[in-house]
Amino acid sequence: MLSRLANTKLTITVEAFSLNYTNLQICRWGRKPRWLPTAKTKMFRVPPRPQIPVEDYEELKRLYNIYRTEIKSLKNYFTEKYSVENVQRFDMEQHEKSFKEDFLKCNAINDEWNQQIKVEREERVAKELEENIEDAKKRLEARNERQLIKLQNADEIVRHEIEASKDFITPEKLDAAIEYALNNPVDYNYAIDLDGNIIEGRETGSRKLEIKQ
Amino acid sequence: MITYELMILFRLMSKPELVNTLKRTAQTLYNRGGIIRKLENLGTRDMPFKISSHGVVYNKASYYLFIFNSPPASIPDLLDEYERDIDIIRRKIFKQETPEFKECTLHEELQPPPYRKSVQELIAQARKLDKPKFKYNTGLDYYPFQK
Repeated sequence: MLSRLANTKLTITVEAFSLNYTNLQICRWGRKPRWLPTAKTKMFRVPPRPQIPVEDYEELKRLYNIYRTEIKSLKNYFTEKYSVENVQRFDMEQHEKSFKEDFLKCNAINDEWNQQIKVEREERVAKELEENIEDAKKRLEARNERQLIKLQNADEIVRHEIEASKDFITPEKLDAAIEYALNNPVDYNYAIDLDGNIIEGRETGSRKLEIKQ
Repeated sequence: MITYELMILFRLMSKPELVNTLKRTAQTLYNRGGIIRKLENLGTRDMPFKISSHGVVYNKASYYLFIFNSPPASIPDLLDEYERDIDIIRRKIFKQETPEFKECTLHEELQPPPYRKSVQELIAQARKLDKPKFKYNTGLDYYPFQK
């Protein structure tokens, strides 16, 4: 890991020294400053050769052979594929023709969809129109009914008033009405006792109240 | 068309005088475009309190009730005119209201309070505000919370 970091340090380019500190990568050295030489005790030490068993060596060699072969063939394949000589020249006419063909195809599909949607839309609009007409008819009917009831109520009031107007006190009937009122005092006061008797007026008698159970 | 009630209190008068005053009152109504539907005599009796009107203190009055129709704009004029009449102690004009029909609930109201529906509803409403209480029959033989 450390040695790899050291390698990156070596390959640092000028761009990495820009003022943008996000590009900075801090690289710490291990136990020893970089400029110190090999320790005196290790100066002439010869590391022992790695001892690989013969079977392992054979196996690794076989695997590496396979790997190298495959990589080589891939390399050749890509070289063949993308080499300048093998790239076809761009044909403008051919391109335009295929573009047109594609457009016609797409257009045909679009027309088909439009036709289909048109049928659906016409069906839906007709249905909605019918529903609206039905609704309007219903509302008109309800409105007429309301109007009729209103008229009937008004008629009822008028009839009632005409009936009541017979008893109205006109200037001609005034004398008689005053005479009658003077002789017949009215008293609206009343009390109810626990037995349901109504005691009417201040001085008048009582009568039995009919309680609706 | 609004039906009004004119409650009017006359001072105590002899009969011919009273008849004259009533006629005058009615005539004022007619002059303002009114229609009298009904005239009632509610008796001559003591008033609940003494009333001073036109410089005289009255203890008794003759109560009369006119039920009439009149243009609403004429009501202030009528009141003004009656205010200036020295035979009239008090006058008020009300809108007549059709009496509302109500079911008789006397037999229910006569019951003792806990049996009345309204009281029961009030109690139920109050019970909703009670704090939740620990029930001792839930398996624990001690009270688990701080007392």
